Amino acid sequence: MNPILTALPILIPWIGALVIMGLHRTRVIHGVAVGTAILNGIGTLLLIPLSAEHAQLLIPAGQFWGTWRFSPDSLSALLSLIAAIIGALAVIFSVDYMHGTNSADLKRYYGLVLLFIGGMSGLVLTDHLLLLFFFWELVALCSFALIAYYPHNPAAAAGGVKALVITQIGGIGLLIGILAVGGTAGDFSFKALHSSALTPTLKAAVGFGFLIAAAAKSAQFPFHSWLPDAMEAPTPISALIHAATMVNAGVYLMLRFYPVFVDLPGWTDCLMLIGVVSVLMGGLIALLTDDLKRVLAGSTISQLGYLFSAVGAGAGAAAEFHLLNHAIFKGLLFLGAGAVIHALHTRDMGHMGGVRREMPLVFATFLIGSLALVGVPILNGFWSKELILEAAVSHAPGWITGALLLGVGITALYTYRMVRRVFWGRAQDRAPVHEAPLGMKIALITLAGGVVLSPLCLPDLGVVITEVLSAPVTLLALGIILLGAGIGWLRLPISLSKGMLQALDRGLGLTPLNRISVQLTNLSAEGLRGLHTGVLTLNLAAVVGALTLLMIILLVGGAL
Amino acid sequence: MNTPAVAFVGALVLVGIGLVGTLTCRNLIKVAVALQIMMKGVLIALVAAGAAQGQINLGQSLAAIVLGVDTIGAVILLALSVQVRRRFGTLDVSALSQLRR
Amino acid sequence: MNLEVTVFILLLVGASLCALMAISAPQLLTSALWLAAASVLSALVLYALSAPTMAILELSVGAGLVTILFVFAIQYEQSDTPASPPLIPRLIGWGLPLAALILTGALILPLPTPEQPAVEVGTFATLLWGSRALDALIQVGLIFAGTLGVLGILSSRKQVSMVTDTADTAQPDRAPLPAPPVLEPTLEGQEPL
Repeated sequence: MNPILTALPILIPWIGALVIMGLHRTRVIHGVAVGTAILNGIGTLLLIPLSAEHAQLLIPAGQFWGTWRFSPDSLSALLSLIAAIIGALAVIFSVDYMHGTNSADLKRYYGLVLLFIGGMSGLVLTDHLLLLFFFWELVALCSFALIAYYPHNPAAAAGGVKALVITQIGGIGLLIGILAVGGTAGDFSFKALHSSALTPTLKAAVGFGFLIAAAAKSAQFPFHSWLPDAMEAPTPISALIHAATMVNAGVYLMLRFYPVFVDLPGWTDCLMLIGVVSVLMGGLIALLTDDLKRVLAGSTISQLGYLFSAVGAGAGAAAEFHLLNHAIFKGLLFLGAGAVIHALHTRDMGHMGGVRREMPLVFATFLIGSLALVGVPILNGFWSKELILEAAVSHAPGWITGALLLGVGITALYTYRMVRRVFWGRAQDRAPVHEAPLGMKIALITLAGGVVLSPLCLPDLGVVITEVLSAPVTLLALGIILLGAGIGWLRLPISLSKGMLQALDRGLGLTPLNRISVQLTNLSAEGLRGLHTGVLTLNLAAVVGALTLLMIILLVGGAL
Repeated sequence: MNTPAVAFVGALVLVGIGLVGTLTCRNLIKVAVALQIMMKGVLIALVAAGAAQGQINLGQSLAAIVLGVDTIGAVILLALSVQVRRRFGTLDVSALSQLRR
Repeated sequence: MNLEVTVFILLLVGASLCALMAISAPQLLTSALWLAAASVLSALVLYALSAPTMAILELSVGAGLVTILFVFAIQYEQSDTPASPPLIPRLIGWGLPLAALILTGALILPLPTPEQPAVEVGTFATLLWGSRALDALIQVGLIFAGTLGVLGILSSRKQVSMVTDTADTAQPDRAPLPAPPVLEPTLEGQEPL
């Protein structure tokens, strides 16, 4: 096959976004967006045969840039497929969710979504560190613009800025690492990381820089607080960007460079520690909020923590599998939540209840997703989570395994609570609602099918099944799930300990630190606003003055 | 004194005149003219650098890129000034600061 | 000093004088025409530096196309506003560039002579499309984007009031949140950006 086909997952959505910019009628915009997304899904499927035959798209880009290589392997094909297929389903879902939006806002919405899908594919396909950085920041930009999609909602604007600033902190770590590698090895391809020119100290700086970048992108422990605030975005966006794809970019970075940094002292321990703390922290956030989307956001932090721990424990294959499964079931949960929110016009679970009878299909698919999230057997989440736990038992210290098992219990508890409050009980002071419209149904049913069938993608399914079923930790985990659900069923008064848990979350979560960094950025921007006179002449005079100063410095420096 | 060195001095003078123009003119189209003058100085400097190193074609290829980029810049600036005139009724740069608080 | 260098110096002086006239002319049209003259003279300078390709490009693009565009823009708007006094003192307006350029000249002159005469590595075309492939490719994209931009700028009559009426088209949040009890202190106290 022609290796140029590798570029399709990047180019199709971008061209579609350009086309959408030129359209005016909302119907046509919806149609073109759905068409582009589906076409992109089909085009991305070509990556499977391409990765099997190790196709390489080489673009010579001059002396400094070297050669740009886009080469799909199994990892990048997997992530690109997730972005394309869940992206397509999110776009189909959006046709109903964004129904009634005016054409200017709709163009902005679909343009950014398609730009994001292409950027995400580019991020995983490229083999050039600077391009990796470019795509890394491109998806951050799309994420920011889509979180702040409703710019007149102050919470949305603040959430967008917070997400941008905190992921930028990570971006700085990534950039420092990339420049250190490129500067010493003189090469920006991935194999430069294996170059012998890198001293151990430099390699450690690069490794921990990448770790910071990955943790910030994946909303892991010290940086996790942007993800709950990002829930102001339209719900299909939360499903696509903040559950299924962009937050996985950090895990991708760790998976991709694990062989390079595995020998760094403390690196894998750090990875596991970040993961474990995030598992517990995300679980607490999910347990203690009444906002349906924030429950799911906390759950995402927690599940991504499992991925980090798995990578740290050296279980790359299990992490990849759980990444796929998490993308599917969390996408399903977010879209189901989106259908409920769309119908009820509220995100507060206190105002929901009894939706089960009115939206049976949404209920059924949401339940499947929840069971997969908890890790109930046969559904995809079960297999991958057990694989991760097993890897932790054999490769990680005992307390890490214990914390991960505790996380399983918390997951069962908050999921039980969420499903009960949304779908059971009786309808409280609200108007009756109807079943979700067709586009939403298509997306939900497809993803529910994926939750059941995705383990069949595994090449060595039989081995996995016998391995999981024979491991003692599986029984233990199932027992803990029952325990967690049982605590949920008993409705133990969590509110008693809420104050204590809140303090725990605030102290450990470093939320104030995150807030201060955002506020510092805002303050310095505001402070510099005075320099922004907007008068061309004054700006130019300052530029020429700076040039003069620079020349004086150069002259004096040359004379010394 | 050889030709490239003279060309450098000339290029510096042209860039300087362009700078003076951008600093003293208030009309947006005049600023565009001044930027074009600076660009001519840059072209001469690039080609002269190529000539001084005996690599005239390298200098030419660099200058061609600069010429293209700068022409696009001039076109966009002119289109902008047409639109600015339409919207603000003036081409005076001091009137075009809506961003200011 | 031989004749060749004398002619070269004369060309440069002529270009500089035209440039001076261009920025000091009171009328915009005159200014654009002086710019064209400066362009022609600098094209001759490039030719004298034995860079004929660039000379042709400069003559056609710099003196031809850009001048036509300037005249078009000036005529289009009928805007021959009288010159107004500069915003910053004339002393700074002239002094700063002068200082910057004298310093630059002091830094780069006299030119270092290359240790060994470098060999020409390729023709103009191979250098432009081979060695600077990325630049050339980006430039193609830039020309495309520039054309689109100009079209967009010139055709945006409908959105003249774009700056003011965004508040009217504001979409309320599809799912307004009745302020759930959230754990983390959010940034709601901050003013919207």
